[in-house]
Amino acid sequence: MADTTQTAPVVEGDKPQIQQAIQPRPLSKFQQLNKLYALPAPLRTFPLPTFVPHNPLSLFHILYVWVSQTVKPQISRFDHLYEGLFSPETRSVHVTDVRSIRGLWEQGFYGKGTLSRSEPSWLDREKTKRGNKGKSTSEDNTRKRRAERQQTKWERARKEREAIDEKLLEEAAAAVQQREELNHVVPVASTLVEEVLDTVEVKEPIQMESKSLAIVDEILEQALERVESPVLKPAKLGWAAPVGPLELLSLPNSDDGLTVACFTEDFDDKYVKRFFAAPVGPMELLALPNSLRSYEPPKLPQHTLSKLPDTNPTDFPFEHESVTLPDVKINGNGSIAPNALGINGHTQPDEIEVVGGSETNEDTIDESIHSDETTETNGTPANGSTLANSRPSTPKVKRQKSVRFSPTVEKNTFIQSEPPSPERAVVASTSVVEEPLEIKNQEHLQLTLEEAFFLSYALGAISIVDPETKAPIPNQDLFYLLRKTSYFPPQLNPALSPDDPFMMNYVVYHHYRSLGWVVRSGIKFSVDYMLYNRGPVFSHAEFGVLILPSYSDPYWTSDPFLEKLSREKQKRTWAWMSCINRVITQVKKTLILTYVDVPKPLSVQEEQDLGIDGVLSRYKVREIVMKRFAANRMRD
Amino acid sequence: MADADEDAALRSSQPQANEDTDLGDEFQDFRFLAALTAKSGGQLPKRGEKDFEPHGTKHQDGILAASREAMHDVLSYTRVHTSRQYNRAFYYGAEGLHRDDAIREDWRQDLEDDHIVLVESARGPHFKTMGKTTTGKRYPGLWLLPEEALYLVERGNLDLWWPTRSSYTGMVDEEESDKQEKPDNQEEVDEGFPMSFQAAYSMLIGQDGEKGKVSLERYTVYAHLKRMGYAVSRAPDWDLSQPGKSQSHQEELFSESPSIFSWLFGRFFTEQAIEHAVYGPLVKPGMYRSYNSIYRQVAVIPRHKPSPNPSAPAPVADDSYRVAFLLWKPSRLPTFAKSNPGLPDFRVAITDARSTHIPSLTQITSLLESTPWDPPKGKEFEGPGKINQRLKHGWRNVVLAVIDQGVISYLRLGESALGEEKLYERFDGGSNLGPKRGGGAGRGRGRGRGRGRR
Repeated sequence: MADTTQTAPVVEGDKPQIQQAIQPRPLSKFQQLNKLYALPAPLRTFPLPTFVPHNPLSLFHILYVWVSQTVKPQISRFDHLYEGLFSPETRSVHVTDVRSIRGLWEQGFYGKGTLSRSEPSWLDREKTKRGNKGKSTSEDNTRKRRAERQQTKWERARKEREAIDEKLLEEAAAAVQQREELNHVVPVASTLVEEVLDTVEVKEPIQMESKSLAIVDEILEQALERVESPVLKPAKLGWAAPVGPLELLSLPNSDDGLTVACFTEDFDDKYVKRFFAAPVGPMELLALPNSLRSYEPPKLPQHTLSKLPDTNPTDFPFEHESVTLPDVKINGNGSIAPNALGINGHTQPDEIEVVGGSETNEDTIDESIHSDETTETNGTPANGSTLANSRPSTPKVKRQKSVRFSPTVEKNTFIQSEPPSPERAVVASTSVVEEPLEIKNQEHLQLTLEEAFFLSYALGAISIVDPETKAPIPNQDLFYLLRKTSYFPPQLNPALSPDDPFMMNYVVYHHYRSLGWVVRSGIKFSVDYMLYNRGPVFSHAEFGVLILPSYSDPYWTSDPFLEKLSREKQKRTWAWMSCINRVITQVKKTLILTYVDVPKPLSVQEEQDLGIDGVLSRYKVREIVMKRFAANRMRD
Repeated sequence: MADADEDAALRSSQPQANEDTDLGDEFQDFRFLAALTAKSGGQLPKRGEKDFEPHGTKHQDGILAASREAMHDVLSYTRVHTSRQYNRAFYYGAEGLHRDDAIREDWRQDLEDDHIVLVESARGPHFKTMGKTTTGKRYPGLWLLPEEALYLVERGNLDLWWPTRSSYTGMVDEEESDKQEKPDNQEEVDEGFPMSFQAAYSMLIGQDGEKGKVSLERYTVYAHLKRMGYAVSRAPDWDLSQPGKSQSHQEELFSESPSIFSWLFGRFFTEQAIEHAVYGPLVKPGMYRSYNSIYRQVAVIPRHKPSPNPSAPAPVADDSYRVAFLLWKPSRLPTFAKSNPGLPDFRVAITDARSTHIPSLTQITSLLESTPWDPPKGKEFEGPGKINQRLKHGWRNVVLAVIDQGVISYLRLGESALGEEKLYERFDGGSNLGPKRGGGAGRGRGRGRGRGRR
């Protein structure tokens, strides 16, 4: 790690020293990250080379660098500033050009991709989806991890179910045996047995030890041989351990399952009822309102159980999700590739609807990207004739598969056994040819107002452009513009209070940024900001920041009205605080209550005289760490 | 001895789960109690799988029945009070026979106003941490505070009586008259009459600030902490009618020196006041050799610097945000002495969740300033890798018990100062410090991957 250029001091002009880092040994993932995110801020530094005492030549190197830098001074700021477009509608700053997006993300983790979780990675995901080997994005990893976790859960549920069923069978067998003894031993055999053996007590078989049970069994058998009457033996259970999810389905969750799997004899009623207790099967899950809309729950038992065993059992529930995903995309281009069907379709004897629309954000995004194409192929007037052909030609009686993606796309019905209609095939082939062309990046980077102002005012690394005049907004105008925009609806009054939302947020943002923390929004964790050491790609956030206003300046208690106002403004209930503390504890972070001491208001003129740094320096920031105190675990 | 047994039972029932699971959420399987009552080998109970729903096996039903049975067994356990353990006490509060009228003055020296229960004979382990012994007379009496008395009454360790005028003196006379006419005298002395449990509650529970009473919130917290085994005593700031005595504790002198060198240079750099352009950017365009110099220009918002002697102390709180109890850990009890308890482990403030809001900055500052200076020192806080631990520990700390209708939630508040840990100082470390830190594996904290998830 130490031998790679980690801080990447960019010595010559604009060119980053990537070549230097190329080594015979491939870099570890960690080294790659270090290299990519070498700059902690969108500014360069020009450190002097290290002086190595045992190598006098290094002194000359230092001298050389120093002289050359003095003669031709470098500028820490990049030659071309990054550029952002102020967007009053979204109350944010949009960054659209690729260089600025990558730069702002990689040098300090500013902003958020509009179509991504945080790092703008939509294009990469899209490329991967279309089969190009793109790099894997964090969203993909998350999806994969979730699928794996899902599978593990299924597996665990299956095992638990198996154990329960085994137990049930054991107990059932025991019960059958007992009953047999009661029903048959007593009436049929007892008369005979009593003659043979008076010593054994048959009337209370329940309390018998296994030994005596065995004796009774023997006696029974002898007795039965003599009587030659067809006595019900313990039911031979045609039962095997459930291996796949399908067997799971056919297990005691339904009437059929019960009769098929276990007993032919009428069984303890209480037991039968208990079998229906737990709705744990996948079909029940699928039948929940979110998924198969046309799936009718009442039909469930006969339907599924008669049909599902025909399909390849391992394919069905697990690959369900992964099957639908390619479907979505291919359909978007107007054709359905046979292989996409193949997985689910070739063994499918009846109609089954697979719905793919409601999966995740990414999929719906996918949808909207292709929406122009889809509407074309899916039956708007433009292509109406082909659809008119294909639609009536699908008789409802036939085996068919209909795939629906989202409410915006119409139902696309086609016949299972036949290839797609020729017209459609043509459309499909052309669009397939066109498809690998450029994907236009639909994503841009969004900076919050605080991020934008910090980059512009504190670091001077970005120029923010007015959406109408296309001219850069100077910092003093930007300051008031952002403060006005932070209200909803935006305020026109130039005399802004010292505790307006932008100021409160910015003071805290600036405070932590100026200490070197990477500050990102904490909305997902119920707090205002999350603090990362170095950045989200390196480690989890350790702290969640909650901004609390404080009005300790004598001004705020100088008259009853102000006193009441300020008291109202800093009022927070304990219930509210407990909620937040609970969430933060759950995700293993630490809550920092950040009190911002609000100074007394100034007139516009006074503020202008002070300058922005003067205004900012009037605020005070105090941090209080709050953590649950588990009294019973602090005993020693 | 019964107490010792009970304490052992309590201790062994402590779950071994990790810190973040909440006790209240956990499944109550009382079968472990059966093991305890049966004294089967004395092994620790193990937690089993959590069952979410009945799945119809007799096995599960059996477990449930066994658990229920065990719980009933425990609840129906008969506690026996032996005469050896019997403690009687007399209530000398405002609503009965008042202490100051009934007891001679030289017999109640050094008592506080709230010491209103006199213990006749103090037996048992509880009096090691409770009560106050009067001095200055031959026969020392042990006096209890209302919360202490009520806790013992509730626990069944104390029999509280209404006194008569002769109760105490009779008791003393008995001692002083060298047990001359023992058997007959007992019947002649009117000892008073026993106080019911309800009466004890209504006599001892009141509002904050009432003499001889304790508020229900404070008593709830007290009893909860006592039950967990802590030694609990009233803090100096207990009395809300008195102004807080925040600075009464001895401050140790300002002795921490991060390093004189860096201190000098830190001063040197900050004192050459950085001129900012009025409208920025704060980082003046130009060439910078280090991120250190860049970030130093960005610092415009004053940062908090914790100090053992705050130059502008916050006004002392006049409301509930003040330390009410001092706590000593149960593990320190063997060496605990009432007369010389040593520094407490925790300080507890109590607030009511329904009637108060979260503390304002002034309230929380004054609360924290009433606690001693406790910076993150020692081995566990040293080194660049311990930055989070240092910040979480803070420079002062207090425990706040938020009590909502009897449900207590304890929070630890620490005065932190993120300004004390300048992360940006590591941004330049890679090239300069890297080799020094030991080459290839030099995963220094700043450059390192962090610790991942704890």
